[in-house]
Amino acid sequence: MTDLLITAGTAVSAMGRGIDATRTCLLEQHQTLQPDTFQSPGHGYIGRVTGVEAHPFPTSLARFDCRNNRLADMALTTDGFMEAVLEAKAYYGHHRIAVIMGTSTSGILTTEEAYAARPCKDAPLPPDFPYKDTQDLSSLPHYVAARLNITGPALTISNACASSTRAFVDAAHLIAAGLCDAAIVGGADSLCRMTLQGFASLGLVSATPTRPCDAERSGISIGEAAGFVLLERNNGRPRSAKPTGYGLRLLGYGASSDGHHMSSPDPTGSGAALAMKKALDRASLPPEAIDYINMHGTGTQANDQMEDRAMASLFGRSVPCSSTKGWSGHTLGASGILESMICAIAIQNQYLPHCMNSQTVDPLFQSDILLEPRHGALNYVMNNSFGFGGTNSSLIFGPLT
Amino acid sequence: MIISIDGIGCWGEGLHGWKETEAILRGQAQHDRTSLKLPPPESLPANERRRASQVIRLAILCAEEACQQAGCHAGELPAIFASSNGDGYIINRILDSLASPAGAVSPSLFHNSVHNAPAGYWMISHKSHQPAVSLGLHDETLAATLLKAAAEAHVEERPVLFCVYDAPIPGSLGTVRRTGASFGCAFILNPTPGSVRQLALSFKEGQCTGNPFASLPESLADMARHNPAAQILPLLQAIAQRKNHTVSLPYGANHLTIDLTHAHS
Repeated sequence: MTDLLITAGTAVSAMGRGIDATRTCLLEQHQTLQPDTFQSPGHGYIGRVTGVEAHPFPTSLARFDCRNNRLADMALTTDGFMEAVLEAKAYYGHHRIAVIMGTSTSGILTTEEAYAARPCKDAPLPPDFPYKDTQDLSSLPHYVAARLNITGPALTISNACASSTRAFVDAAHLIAAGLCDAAIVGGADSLCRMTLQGFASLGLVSATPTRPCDAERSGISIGEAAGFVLLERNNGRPRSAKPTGYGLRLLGYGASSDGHHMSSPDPTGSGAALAMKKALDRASLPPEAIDYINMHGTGTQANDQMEDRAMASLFGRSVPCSSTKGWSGHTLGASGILESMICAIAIQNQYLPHCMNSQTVDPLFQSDILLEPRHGALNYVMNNSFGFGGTNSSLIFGPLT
Repeated sequence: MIISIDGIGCWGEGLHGWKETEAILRGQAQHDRTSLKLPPPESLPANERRRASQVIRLAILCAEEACQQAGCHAGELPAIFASSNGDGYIINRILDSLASPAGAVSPSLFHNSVHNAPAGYWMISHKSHQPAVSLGLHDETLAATLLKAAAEAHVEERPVLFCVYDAPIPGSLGTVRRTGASFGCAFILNPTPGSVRQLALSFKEGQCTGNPFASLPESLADMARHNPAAQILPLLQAIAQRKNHTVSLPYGANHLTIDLTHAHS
């Protein structure tokens, strides 16, 4: 595949704003999930980002103001990301940088509030209701493009919880096809009643903070996050020795479908395993070359069992793996971009994070699930995301050298 | 970027399959906008057929027809599904539920509300392990996603299914996002030249001018103006009439130019 580098990256989640805060959260093992007071009645625990409501949103772009774009703006203005994009833009030109975003629900919270304020069912929304700039899927890439003053191809990927992981695949296609030289890749998903109530209705929300891979796991804790990377061709331009925020090499990607069921993963894990296998093939790496897997690991019975099976079928017990959703909660379409930053931290610090909150690994599991953090030599890491509709994506990262 | 069209599917209001649509676009039949019949797609297993919404039916009927026409095995094609509105019927119902005193959401509505539900149903119906992506970009959905689909076919060096569809949103949301009629279209896009019909896609800086829908009969021009997926109708018209044709579609500060050519056979 086209040799692709991440030369800048950042993210915001309940773990913190930016790479240093997120690293501290991991290393010091902070508890970050809190009871759901976002709505009443609440469901279980949530990973809520502090300061979203108070974040100063650019007045010139006020029409985009919604929780999702606020989260996006918090990430954009962290870790020097905007400055890094400015440099790339000066070299490539603003029209040669794409904006490829993943989101599942975009700014739907704004519409939820507008529905609650209606005098009656089916009443018209106010004529100036900013549907396009908040709820519509285009809102996020259009906001990011406007904030960064970028005019290359924009696109939204909405593959449920695999959205921002899959966004790397689509960005890689556009770069390899020569439609752009670089891409802002990432995504955002923010707390809203649709997902909090929706997952609760499916019986998938845990009453206690989520415990991925635990024998007693009882579901997800929903979280919110936004994150971005600057993805560009290797040797696309002279670059500074150090990345901004974080840097990685994108060595491989794989995408697949389960073709099994809308909301339950295929218990055999064959679709998920295929995504991982394709990523390995594209990276020309054998399974044993992978040093750590950041799992999708949502904390549901079905997902974690399926993912364990899929990983074990390729890696046996040879690769340490964990889910970091015990910290962030399940940030849905943004989980891929957040966990890409966690992969970067793992490589930088030669540190393998464990499954926060989890006490006993499910005795049926065959993979090397981390219940304690581990220090070890890390070179290649894998990041998995799966979603409703049976959509699977896996990425392989290496250090930016 | 040059891409061949190996198969076409088209369904919508007064457009029941490519044959009927082709006849209308050639001026050989009238377009009756009042009729919309979306039969349950044959490829869906019984359970999924029962659960599939009208929007899911619309997308799958188009995809099914394009695959049949191209004579290709649906389960072997990576898929690119594209829609601006997604399933507005379901989104509106969920928003209504959330605004009601109980505030509870139906579980089956919730998992069908994801933008990639039609792609999921399609993959389930063919037990396919191929990748599928679901995209959207408001009124520029067609330009953005056709370009993406062509790029994927070229980079991955294999044919892909491209399916674009949109339908009106009912209820309160429909008052701020007006979509005139249901419409969907699917292509099998092949990066290997050889087909009778070829598209040359160019992504160009700057805005485009002109009315891309001028050649369409009024009822179809109206559909194209008020349904982002139906912006493909001028291209379908030229295909139906075996004419070479160029369409430019706005795409942000840029535009996508699509040159359709027919090989002489």
